[in-house]
Amino acid sequence: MTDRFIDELSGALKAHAANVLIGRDPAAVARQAMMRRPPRRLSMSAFSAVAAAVLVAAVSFAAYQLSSGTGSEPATMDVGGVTYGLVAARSLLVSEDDLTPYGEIAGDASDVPIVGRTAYAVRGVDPNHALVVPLAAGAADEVGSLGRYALLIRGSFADLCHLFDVSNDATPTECRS
Amino acid sequence: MTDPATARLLMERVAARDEAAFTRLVTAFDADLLRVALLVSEDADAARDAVQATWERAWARPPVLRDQTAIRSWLLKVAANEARQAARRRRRGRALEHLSSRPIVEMGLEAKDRIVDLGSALSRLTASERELLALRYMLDMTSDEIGGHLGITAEGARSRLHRLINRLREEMTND
Repeated sequence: MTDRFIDELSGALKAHAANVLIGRDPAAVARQAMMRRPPRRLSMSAFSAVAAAVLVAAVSFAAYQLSSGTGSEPATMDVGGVTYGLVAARSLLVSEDDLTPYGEIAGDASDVPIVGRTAYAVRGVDPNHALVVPLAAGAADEVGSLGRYALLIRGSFADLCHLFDVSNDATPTECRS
Repeated sequence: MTDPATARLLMERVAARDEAAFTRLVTAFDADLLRVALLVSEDADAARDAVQATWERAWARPPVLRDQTAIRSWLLKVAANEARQAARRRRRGRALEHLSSRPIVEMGLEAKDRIVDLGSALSRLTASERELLALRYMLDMTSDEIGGHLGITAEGARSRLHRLINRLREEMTND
């Protein structure tokens, strides 16, 4: 059975989009996107500003850290003899294809529901800097869903922004565009 | 680009800075991104900006994704988020530039005296609700596809859409 309201709604929405699409040239759109220059290397004069930004990143890192089972201390996990902080990564964009098993989680000072005992390296990311752990379906904290993975991290988010959806409100502040 | 291997190869070429591959990617998905961004942002210029930002990001930091569904889903998410930001920036209460001046009676609906125009009705929805409408009624995605894209079940997608349509129907034909 067709629904006239829905048919008309769909038709109106498509017609509206068609107006905006008129004259749009995907090749020109692509050219413009490719012309966008990558971030420039920073000069020495800008170094102090970067140092300040990294410091801010390191400080704000605490805002995303998950609590331990006691609730009074930051959650940590040990992998390969290295201790990582466990942080929420709700807007992480990695897929399973980006992950490689890296090591077993030996020490787990968190009450976050993880799946299995394996931490995974992420393609293109130094495993000594960050790993991910799969979370149980429905894992959440007081803010909301924790997503599919939590991040094990040492240091700041500064080199990990490419892993996040930078326009998502849940993304670390220093990674947002 | 229906073959998963072809789609993945295309993304790998984009990552390798292959301009022809990137142009092919833009040609394949640009219209879909613009449709979603348009409804989410409620503004044609904001939608164009959001989609441009999406493509700039895809070129600068191309994700490695396994198939066309994942590629499309990633692009749609980024475009919708960019459009959402644009929507926040726009002045409150601004309605869809074309639809707001287009009486819903043009849709063929009855009860002319009770009809509120489509633009106003859409502007009362959240950006996420408009995104859902765009996925279903502009991109013709199935409930299964929407569920996969949003990380919910197909039944959950159906249910949200059902409630949304009922609300719209009620608002647009309200006494």
